[in-house]
Amino acid sequence: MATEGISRKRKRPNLFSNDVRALMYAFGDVPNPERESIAVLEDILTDYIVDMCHEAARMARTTNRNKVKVDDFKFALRRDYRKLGRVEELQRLSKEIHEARKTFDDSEGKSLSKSHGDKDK
Amino acid sequence: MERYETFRRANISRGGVKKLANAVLNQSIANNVAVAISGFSKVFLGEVIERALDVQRRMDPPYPLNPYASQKPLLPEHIREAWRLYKQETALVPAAHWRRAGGQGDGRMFR
Repeated sequence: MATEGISRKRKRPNLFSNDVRALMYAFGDVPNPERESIAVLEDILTDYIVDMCHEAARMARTTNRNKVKVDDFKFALRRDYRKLGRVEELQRLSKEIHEARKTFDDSEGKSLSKSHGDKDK
Repeated sequence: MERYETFRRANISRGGVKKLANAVLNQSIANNVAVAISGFSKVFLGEVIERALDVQRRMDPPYPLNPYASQKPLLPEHIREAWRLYKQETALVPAAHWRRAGGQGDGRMFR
Protein backbone atom coordinates (compact mmCIF):
# COMPACT_ATOMS: atom_id res chain seq x y z
CA MET A 1 0.00 0.00 0.00
CA ALA A 2 1.84 3.06 -1.24
CA THR A 3 0.13 5.48 1.06
CA GLU A 4 1.11 3.78 4.28
CA GLY A 5 4.63 5.13 4.03
CA ILE A 6 6.44 7.21 6.58
CA SER A 7 5.17 10.59 5.42
CA ARG A 8 1.83 11.55 4.02
CA LYS A 9 1.57 14.32 1.49
CA ARG A 10 -2.19 14.62 1.63
CA LYS A 11 -4.52 14.44 4.57
CA ARG A 12 -6.77 11.40 4.60
CA PRO A 13 -10.45 11.94 5.32
CA ASN A 14 -11.19 10.74 8.85
CA LEU A 15 -14.63 9.33 8.33
CA PHE A 16 -14.73 6.27 10.55
CA SER A 17 -12.44 6.82 13.54
CA ASN A 18 -15.09 6.28 16.21
CA ASP A 19 -16.62 3.34 14.41
CA VAL A 20 -13.23 1.69 13.96
CA ARG A 21 -12.39 2.23 17.60
CA ALA A 22 -15.63 0.58 18.74
CA LEU A 23 -15.18 -2.32 16.34
CA MET A 24 -11.61 -2.95 17.49
CA TYR A 25 -12.87 -3.46 21.01
CA ALA A 26 -15.79 -5.48 19.68
CA PHE A 27 -13.52 -7.93 17.86
CA GLY A 28 -11.04 -8.45 20.68
CA ASP A 29 -8.75 -5.49 21.25
CA VAL A 30 -8.45 -3.59 24.53
CA PRO A 31 -11.31 -1.23 25.42
CA ASN A 32 -9.14 1.79 24.51
CA PRO A 33 -7.17 0.94 21.38
CA GLU A 34 -4.01 2.77 20.36
CA ARG A 35 -4.64 5.92 18.37
CA GLU A 36 -2.09 4.99 15.72
CA SER A 37 -3.63 1.56 15.30
CA ILE A 38 -7.04 3.09 14.76
CA ALA A 39 -5.58 5.37 12.11
CA VAL A 40 -3.89 2.48 10.28
CA LEU A 41 -7.04 0.39 10.33
CA GLU A 42 -9.11 3.30 9.13
CA ASP A 43 -6.77 3.77 6.18
CA ILE A 44 -6.95 0.10 5.32
CA LEU A 45 -10.74 0.18 5.54
CA THR A 46 -11.04 3.29 3.39
CA ASP A 47 -8.81 1.78 0.73
CA TYR A 48 -10.81 -1.43 0.81
CA ILE A 49 -14.13 0.34 0.39
CA VAL A 50 -12.73 2.42 -2.47
CA ASP A 51 -11.41 -0.73 -4.17
CA MET A 52 -14.74 -2.50 -3.77
CA CYS A 53 -16.59 0.51 -5.19
CA HIS A 54 -14.35 0.40 -8.23
CA GLU A 55 -15.03 -3.30 -8.67
CA ALA A 56 -18.78 -2.74 -8.43
CA ALA A 57 -18.60 0.14 -10.89
CA ARG A 58 -16.75 -2.15 -13.29
CA MET A 59 -19.58 -4.67 -13.00
CA ALA A 60 -22.17 -1.99 -13.66
CA ARG A 61 -20.28 -0.72 -16.69
CA THR A 62 -20.35 -4.13 -18.38
CA THR A 63 -24.13 -3.84 -18.58
CA ASN A 64 -23.96 -0.22 -19.71
CA ARG A 65 -25.22 1.07 -16.40
CA ASN A 66 -23.96 4.16 -14.64
CA LYS A 67 -25.48 3.67 -11.22
CA VAL A 68 -24.19 0.87 -9.07
CA LYS A 69 -26.63 -1.55 -7.50
CA VAL A 70 -26.31 -3.96 -4.61
CA ASP A 71 -26.10 -6.78 -7.18
CA ASP A 72 -22.86 -5.31 -8.49
CA PHE A 73 -21.34 -5.57 -5.03
CA LYS A 74 -22.72 -9.06 -4.63
CA PHE A 75 -21.01 -10.13 -7.81
CA ALA A 76 -17.77 -8.49 -6.71
CA LEU A 77 -18.04 -10.52 -3.50
CA ARG A 78 -18.90 -13.77 -5.29
CA ARG A 79 -15.78 -15.57 -4.02
CA ASP A 80 -16.08 -14.21 -0.49
CA TYR A 81 -18.75 -16.35 1.09
CA ARG A 82 -18.64 -14.59 4.45
CA LYS A 83 -19.23 -11.07 3.22
CA LEU A 84 -21.61 -12.20 0.53
CA GLY A 85 -23.67 -14.00 3.16
CA ARG A 86 -23.76 -10.88 5.30
CA VAL A 87 -25.00 -8.73 2.40
CA GLU A 88 -27.71 -11.27 1.58
CA GLU A 89 -28.71 -11.43 5.24
CA LEU A 90 -29.01 -7.65 5.40
CA GLN A 91 -31.13 -7.66 2.25
CA ARG A 92 -33.42 -10.31 3.69
CA LEU A 93 -33.80 -8.47 7.01
CA SER A 94 -34.47 -5.17 5.29
CA LYS A 95 -37.19 -6.83 3.23
CA GLU A 96 -38.74 -8.35 6.38
CA ILE A 97 -38.77 -4.96 8.10
CA HIS A 98 -40.35 -3.41 5.02
CA GLU A 99 -43.03 -6.10 4.89
CA ALA A 100 -43.72 -5.77 8.60
CA ARG A 101 -44.13 -2.01 8.25
CA LYS A 102 -46.51 -2.45 5.35
CA THR A 103 -48.75 -4.83 7.31
CA PHE A 104 -48.69 -2.46 10.28
CA ASP A 105 -49.74 0.50 8.15
CA ASP A 106 -52.52 -1.48 6.47
CA SER A 107 -54.03 -2.63 9.76
CA GLU A 108 -53.79 0.92 11.15
CA GLY A 109 -55.67 2.28 8.15
CA LYS A 110 -58.36 -0.37 8.41
CA SER A 111 -59.05 0.25 12.09
CA LEU A 112 -59.22 4.02 11.56
CA SER A 113 -61.68 3.76 8.68
CA LYS A 114 -63.90 1.47 10.73
CA SER A 115 -64.03 3.97 13.58
CA HIS A 116 -65.07 6.73 11.14
CA GLY A 117 -67.91 4.57 9.86
CA ASP A 118 -66.61 4.03 6.31
CA LYS A 119 -67.31 7.62 5.29
CA ASP A 120 -64.47 7.73 2.79
CA LYS A 121 -65.59 4.59 0.99
CA MET B 1 -21.02 -8.76 27.94
CA GLU B 2 -20.21 -5.20 27.05
CA ARG B 3 -17.92 -6.40 24.30
CA TYR B 4 -20.77 -8.42 22.82
CA GLU B 5 -23.08 -5.43 23.09
CA THR B 6 -20.53 -3.32 21.24
CA PHE B 7 -20.10 -6.08 18.67
CA ARG B 8 -23.81 -6.11 17.95
CA ARG B 9 -24.37 -2.38 17.91
CA ALA B 10 -21.24 -0.91 16.37
CA ASN B 11 -21.13 -0.52 12.65
CA ILE B 12 -19.54 1.53 9.94
CA SER B 13 -21.73 4.63 9.78
CA ARG B 14 -23.93 4.82 6.71
CA GLY B 15 -23.30 8.57 6.34
CA GLY B 16 -19.53 8.11 6.15
CA VAL B 17 -19.94 5.30 3.64
CA LYS B 18 -22.19 7.44 1.49
CA LYS B 19 -19.73 10.32 1.56
CA LEU B 20 -16.87 8.08 0.52
CA ALA B 21 -18.71 6.08 -2.14
CA ASN B 22 -20.37 9.16 -3.62
CA ALA B 23 -17.00 10.84 -3.95
CA VAL B 24 -15.31 7.79 -5.49
CA LEU B 25 -18.05 6.99 -8.00
CA ASN B 26 -19.26 10.52 -8.62
CA GLN B 27 -22.86 9.47 -8.12
CA SER B 28 -25.35 9.44 -5.33
CA ILE B 29 -25.52 5.83 -4.20
CA ALA B 30 -28.78 4.25 -3.08
CA ASN B 31 -29.52 3.65 0.58
CA ASN B 32 -29.50 -0.11 0.32
CA VAL B 33 -26.10 0.05 -1.36
CA ALA B 34 -24.76 2.03 1.59
CA VAL B 35 -26.26 -0.53 3.96
CA ALA B 36 -24.60 -3.35 2.03
CA ILE B 37 -21.20 -1.65 2.03
CA SER B 38 -21.45 -0.84 5.71
CA GLY B 39 -22.35 -4.48 6.35
CA PHE B 40 -19.50 -6.18 4.58
CA SER B 41 -17.05 -3.52 5.81
CA LYS B 42 -17.77 -4.60 9.34
CA VAL B 43 -17.08 -8.23 8.41
CA PHE B 44 -13.87 -7.14 6.70
CA LEU B 45 -12.68 -5.22 9.76
CA GLY B 46 -13.42 -8.24 11.92
CA GLU B 47 -11.32 -10.47 9.71
CA VAL B 48 -8.35 -8.10 9.79
CA ILE B 49 -8.59 -7.44 13.53
CA GLU B 50 -8.78 -11.14 14.37
CA ARG B 51 -5.78 -11.79 12.19
CA ALA B 52 -3.95 -8.92 13.92
CA LEU B 53 -4.65 -10.52 17.30
CA ASP B 54 -3.11 -13.74 15.97
CA VAL B 55 -0.06 -11.82 14.80
CA GLN B 56 0.20 -10.17 18.19
CA ARG B 57 0.03 -13.50 19.95
CA ARG B 58 2.76 -14.90 17.71
CA MET B 59 5.03 -11.88 18.05
CA ASP B 60 4.57 -11.49 21.77
CA PRO B 61 3.42 -14.78 23.30
CA PRO B 62 1.50 -14.26 26.55
CA TYR B 63 3.13 -15.83 29.59
CA PRO B 64 0.88 -18.86 30.27
CA LEU B 65 1.46 -19.00 34.04
CA ASN B 66 0.50 -15.41 34.71
CA PRO B 67 -3.29 -15.18 34.61
CA TYR B 68 -3.23 -11.58 35.79
CA ALA B 69 -1.30 -10.20 32.86
CA SER B 70 -3.48 -7.56 31.27
CA GLN B 71 -4.07 -7.59 27.57
CA LYS B 72 -1.77 -5.43 25.50
CA PRO B 73 -3.24 -3.15 22.85
CA LEU B 74 -2.86 -3.87 19.17
CA LEU B 75 -0.03 -1.94 17.55
CA PRO B 76 0.21 -0.65 13.97
CA GLU B 77 2.85 -3.27 13.16
CA HIS B 78 0.41 -6.04 14.08
CA ILE B 79 -2.28 -4.55 11.90
CA ARG B 80 0.02 -3.96 8.94
CA GLU B 81 1.33 -7.51 9.11
CA ALA B 82 -2.23 -8.81 9.39
CA TRP B 83 -3.24 -6.82 6.33
CA ARG B 84 -0.24 -8.12 4.39
CA LEU B 85 -1.12 -11.70 5.32
CA TYR B 86 -4.77 -11.11 4.50
CA LYS B 87 -3.95 -9.93 1.01
CA GLN B 88 -1.51 -12.78 0.53
CA GLU B 89 -3.61 -15.61 1.90
CA THR B 90 -6.98 -14.65 0.49
CA ALA B 91 -7.71 -13.72 -3.09
CA LEU B 92 -10.45 -11.41 -1.94
CA VAL B 93 -9.05 -7.92 -2.31
CA PRO B 94 -9.56 -6.49 -5.78
CA ALA B 95 -6.32 -5.56 -7.51
CA ALA B 96 -5.77 -1.86 -7.33
CA HIS B 97 -4.95 -1.28 -10.98
CA TRP B 98 -6.71 2.03 -11.10
CA ARG B 99 -4.39 3.48 -8.48
CA ARG B 100 -1.74 3.92 -11.11
CA ALA B 101 -4.17 5.84 -13.25
CA GLY B 102 -2.63 9.07 -12.07
CA GLY B 103 -4.40 12.14 -10.78
CA GLN B 104 -4.44 12.40 -7.03
CA GLY B 105 -3.92 8.68 -6.65
CA ASP B 106 -6.70 8.53 -4.13
CA GLY B 107 -9.00 6.47 -6.29
CA ARG B 108 -11.41 9.11 -7.50
CA MET B 109 -12.72 8.21 -10.90
CA PHE B 110 -13.67 11.75 -11.78
CA ARG B 111 -11.58 14.67 -10.76
